Amino acid sequence: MRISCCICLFALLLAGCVSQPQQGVDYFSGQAGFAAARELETRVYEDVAYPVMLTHVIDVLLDMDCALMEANKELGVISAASTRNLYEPGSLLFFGQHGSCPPHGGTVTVTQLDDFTVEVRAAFLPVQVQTQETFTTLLMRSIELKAGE
Amino acid sequence: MLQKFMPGTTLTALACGLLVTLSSITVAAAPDFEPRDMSATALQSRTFEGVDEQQLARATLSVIQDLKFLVTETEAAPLTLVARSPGPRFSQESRTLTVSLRALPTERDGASLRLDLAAVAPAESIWRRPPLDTRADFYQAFFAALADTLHRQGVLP
Repeated sequence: MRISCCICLFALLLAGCVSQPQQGVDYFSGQAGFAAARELETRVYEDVAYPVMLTHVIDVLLDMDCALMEANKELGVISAASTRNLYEPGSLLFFGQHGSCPPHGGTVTVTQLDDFTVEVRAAFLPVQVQTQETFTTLLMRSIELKAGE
Repeated sequence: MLQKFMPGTTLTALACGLLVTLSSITVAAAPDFEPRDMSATALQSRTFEGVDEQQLARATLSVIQDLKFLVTETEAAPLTLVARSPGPRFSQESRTLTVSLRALPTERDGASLRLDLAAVAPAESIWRRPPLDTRADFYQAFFAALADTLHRQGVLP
C-alpha cells in the first residue's frame, strides 16, 4: 500500500516534469478584418483638447463599469477590463455581468491631430457594433455635458 | 526486509523525502539563463530610420490594438509597453508581449530607433520559468503589420 503510494507520488512528479507541447495560436489569422475593425473603432472629435479627451475617455470607461488597468497621459493610452474578468473567464471568481464593459475589456488610444482635434480609437474585445455605439454615445454625451457647464 | 528495522511510516516518509530532494536537485541544476539562439534575437528586433519615437509608438499601439491585446503596463520614456493576449491568462496559448523602443546613435545625422519584441508564455508551474517565445512567424507578422501601419500613416514611403 505504502509502496503504491510512493510509486503514484513518483509518477505524479515525473508527469509534472514532462513538458507539454506548445500549441501555437496565430494572432494574425484575422488580419483581413483588421481594417474594418479599425474603421469601426476610430472616431475623430473636433473642439476637444487632448487632456480633456483623456478625462472623458476615463469617465466613459468607468460609466461602462470597466476597471481601469493602465493610463498613460504622455502616450494617450487607457486600458480597462471588465470587473468580472480580471481573473479568469469561467473561473470561480465570477462576479456576473457588470454594465456594458466587454468581457476582455479593451485599450483606448487618444491621439492629438492638432490643437483641437483628437482621434480616439477604442479597441474592445469582442469586436461588437453595440459596444462601440455605447462607447461613442457615452463619449459624445460626456463632451456635451462638459461643454454645457 | 527493511521493514524489519524501520516502521512503515518512517520508510514512506524517507522515500517521499528522497523524491522531493531529487526533484529539487534537478531544478537547481538547470542554468538560470540559457544561451539563446542569436538568430531568434535578430528576429525580435528591427531598426527604423527616418521615424520619430512618437510615430513609432503610435504605430506599435495600433498593431497591439489590431491584435486585441490588452495593454497592462506603459512607460513613455524610454518607451516600454506590456500587453496581454486575449483569452484565459494562464492558458498555454496566452502570451505577454513586451515592446521596448531604444534610440541608437548613428554616424549620420539623427538617430535610428530599435524596437524589440518579446512574447512570453505564462509560467506552467512554480518549477518552470516562462519560456521565451521563439516562434518566428509571430515576430515577422508583427513587424510586417507595423511596417504596413507606418505606411498607412504616411510615415514610411
